[in-house]
Amino acid sequence: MSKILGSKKSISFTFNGTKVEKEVEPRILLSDFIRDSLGKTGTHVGCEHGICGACTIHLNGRAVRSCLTLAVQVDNCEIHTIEFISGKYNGLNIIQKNFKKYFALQCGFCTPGIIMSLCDYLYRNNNPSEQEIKDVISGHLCRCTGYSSIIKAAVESAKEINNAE
Amino acid sequence: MKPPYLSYVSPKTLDEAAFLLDQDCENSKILAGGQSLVTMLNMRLIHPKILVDIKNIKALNSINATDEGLLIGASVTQQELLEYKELSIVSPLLYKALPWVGHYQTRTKGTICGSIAHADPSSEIPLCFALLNGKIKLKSLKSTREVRADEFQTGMLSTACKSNEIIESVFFPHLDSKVGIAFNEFSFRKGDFSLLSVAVIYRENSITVGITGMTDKPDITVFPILSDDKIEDALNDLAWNLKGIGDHIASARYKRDLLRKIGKLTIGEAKKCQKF
Ligand SMILES: Cc1cc2nc3c(=O)[nH]c(=O)nc-3n(C[C@H](O)[C@H](O)[C@H](O)COP(=O)(O)OP(=O)(O)OC[C@H]3O[C@@H](n4cnc5c(N)ncnc54)[C@H](O)[C@@H]3O)c2cc1C
Ligand code: FES
Ligand code: FES
Repeated sequence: MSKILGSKKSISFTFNGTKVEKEVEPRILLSDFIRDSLGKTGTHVGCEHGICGACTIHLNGRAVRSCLTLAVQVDNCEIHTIEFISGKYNGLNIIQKNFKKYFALQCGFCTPGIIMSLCDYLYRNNNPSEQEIKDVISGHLCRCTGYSSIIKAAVESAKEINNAE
Repeated sequence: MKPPYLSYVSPKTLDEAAFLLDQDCENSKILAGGQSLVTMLNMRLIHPKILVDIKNIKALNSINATDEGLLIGASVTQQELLEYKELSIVSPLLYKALPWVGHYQTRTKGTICGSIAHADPSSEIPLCFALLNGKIKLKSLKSTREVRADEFQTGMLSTACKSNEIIESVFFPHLDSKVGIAFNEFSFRKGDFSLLSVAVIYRENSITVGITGMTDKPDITVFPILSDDKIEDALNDLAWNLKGIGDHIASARYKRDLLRKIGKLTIGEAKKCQKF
């Protein structure tokens, strides 16, 4: 057990496909670690108590709140952020294209989090209903769009993902 | 909005976790999904010196359906249980209640046992636990004991779990497959903590109604089988007897009204699906 309160721990994990080894204080949130230590600022921080969803990332393939995760907890895990999605699909993926098509973003603050949630949920579930999609989006706050364009983009993406499979 | 200074340990066995917790239990906290704990740390509502993370303890990550019921290890997440094959058959109550617990993005990390440990007065999982009168297994360095649901939650955010104890697992007993089960709740946004939740077990000779949102912990009441108008009267009496208090979101009167309406709706749904 570390005797000195807050003394750094070394962690090693896969970040967007690359192995990362760093020393980190136990109290550092994963959201801050991603932004400040790894320099990837696509993951946004709104409320830091799990409500807004702006900080949503993938931890071992599942959408989770990075503001409610300590960086030390992801030792040996796999993390993906919005930067990985664009890299993987060499441009915009189906969901991002539909966000553009349906004007599902204005200021864009909430967008990376919502895309991360949908990238997990829509690729994991065949043929989700509109209500199920709305339930997933209910885990995010958007102060600009009024949600209906986001729901349209998500429903359309679900159809396209299903057809592609 | 940042956690205070703290140390972090992630033992690989339950014995090691119990040992580490015992070293300085008053200043230590078990970290499960972190969906309530890290929030409290961020808000500096608590100042533990040491966090004992249970995520690396493989033995705690199991779901076992036995003849008697469902045994769920401490690190099983709410989403893992929701996706457990045949949950709708093994535990229709949890199957109906879990989608109301937080959001998809919090259920992927929040655990079943963590929710029971946290004992928020409006939480759905402690309500199911109380309604089924399940059992919880507690482990400390020197002993293991089991506590029944009716003795576990002692009030708002307080339980019989001592500071040197770890919840190892929770057990939800099976119900007769003929009983009718229904669950409903009201919140302003889907996934937010509810203002009032109602869970009902409709048996051949009785109706068991569980409610959260009125008092500081789940309230369980057993009614005989009643006609529809008698049910309204009984729920009205219950709404007054529970002496719910209003808060900044809803007045006591509003909550009583919710209880009457959601109570009736939920009993009606449970009645429809019973097979006696
Ligand atoms: C945006 C948001 C919405 C939410 N909405 C809801 C909701 O609608 N309904 C609801 O019920 N909950 C809701 N929650 C809370 C969520 O369900 C939490 O997951 C749950 O309350 C705690 O589980 P956890 O595994 O995250 O525990 P943690 O946050 O890790 O721990 C919570 C507490 O329990 C203790 N603890 C945890 N596990 C153990 C153990 N094995 N032994 C001993 N002590 C233990 C911890 O020390 C801590 O004090 C919400 C959370 C968020 C962020
Ligand atoms: S910053 Fe994490 S949910 Fe708002
Ligand atoms: S686009 Fe501005 S918050 Fe959603």
